[in-house]
Amino acid sequence: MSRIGIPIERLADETLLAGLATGDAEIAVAFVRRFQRKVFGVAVAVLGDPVLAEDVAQQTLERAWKHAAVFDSRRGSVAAWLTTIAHNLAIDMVRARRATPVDPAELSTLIGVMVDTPERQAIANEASGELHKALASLPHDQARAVVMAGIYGMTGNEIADFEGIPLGTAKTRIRAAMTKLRSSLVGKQANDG
Amino acid sequence: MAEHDDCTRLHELAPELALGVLTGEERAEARKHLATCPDCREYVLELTSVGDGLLALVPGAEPPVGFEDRVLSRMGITAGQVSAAASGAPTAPIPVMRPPAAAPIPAPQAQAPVMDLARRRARRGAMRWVPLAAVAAAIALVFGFGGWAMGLTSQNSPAESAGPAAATPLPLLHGTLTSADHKPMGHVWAWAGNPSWLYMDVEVEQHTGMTVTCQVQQADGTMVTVGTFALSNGYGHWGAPAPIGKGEKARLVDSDGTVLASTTLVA
Repeated sequence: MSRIGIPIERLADETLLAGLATGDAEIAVAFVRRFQRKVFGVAVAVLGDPVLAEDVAQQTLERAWKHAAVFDSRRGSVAAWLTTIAHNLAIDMVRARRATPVDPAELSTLIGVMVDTPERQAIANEASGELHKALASLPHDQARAVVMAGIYGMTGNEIADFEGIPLGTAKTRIRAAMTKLRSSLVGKQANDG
Repeated sequence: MAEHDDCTRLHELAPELALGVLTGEERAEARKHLATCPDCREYVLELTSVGDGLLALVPGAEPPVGFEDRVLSRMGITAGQVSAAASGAPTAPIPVMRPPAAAPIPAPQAQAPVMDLARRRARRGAMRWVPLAAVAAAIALVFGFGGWAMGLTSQNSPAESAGPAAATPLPLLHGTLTSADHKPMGHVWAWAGNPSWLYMDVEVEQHTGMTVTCQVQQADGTMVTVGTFALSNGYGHWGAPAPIGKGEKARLVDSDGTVLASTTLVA
């Protein structure tokens, strides 16, 4: 049978993952190279510690390898699946270690990068673009609250302590931010539909 | 409390629930209401999509030097295999090394089911036919890059493996599963080497959440049951060792023995 010349770099994410289940070394290498930056990025953003983040990123990719056969692409993209695994593992690690609260400077830096202009940051798809714009347009205190909750996994109480505000205010900021961000996605779907 | 009041309360809690940061009594309160309110479940699903979207905005970062090698090592892939892969040399024939038996991923956080539902809802339209194409491409990939090595029976390391001339390649067999009324329902790929195997994906819109059985009709007419697997929302992909050869037939039957689809495997 002749070789089918599909450059491995051009394969869809789902294809690489499906191929990972076969145990093929070349596919595994390509898979790790494609996603390592993303999962490490999420892990280090949450943990703020490259050593811990590496452990989380390794566990994430290892889990993907072990469970590639049960991935259902209708539940979401491979990238979303991997980042969710990495995020959950990182949050678990933070909570287990009761690590030092978020560094305010790191929080500001992360928000700055997340709301950076699309020209400077690759936006994966239109939905991400809409969410990016909506996040950028949030009042700063709401953006901080939703990033602390959504990325750092901080509870309302933790955000209240961190910001020096009443618990009710922290919850209100999260809710207001999430409501606006949801509207951006729902509005996009409605326009597309 | 009236139902409307419960929904109002849920909307207050939903953002934190969707982000996985709701704790204690409030979490229990929210989950209790969600068990009985589809509208509020829908609302939480939408908010969960927002949480996923936020994660997607987090930038990537370069992992430490050696990270790739360490990950691959945990997958059981040696430096030699990595070098071979990088140079385009053949890797070991499948199935030479597979991940441990797949099992559902334990949810690190209890809200995982909600997140799964959210993703399913948010993306099912766009992703509908991706699995078929993905699996097809994956199989093509496996044979495209390492297929000629399939005739090898040894499990030598890539460095020790012989080149393409060492074995006569066997063709990848393929068939499109079609129903009795000629509707396409999936694909089958098979390889008649040693060990022989079969892989299929199935998309059965009108049969959701069902278990199906794969059977192979061999050249002498013998019908062999290869295995049974479950479809989730009408979709499933599955593979197993199978006694298979060119011109033989594969078919899919439901739990009642009704033939859902069949195909003849050709090179």
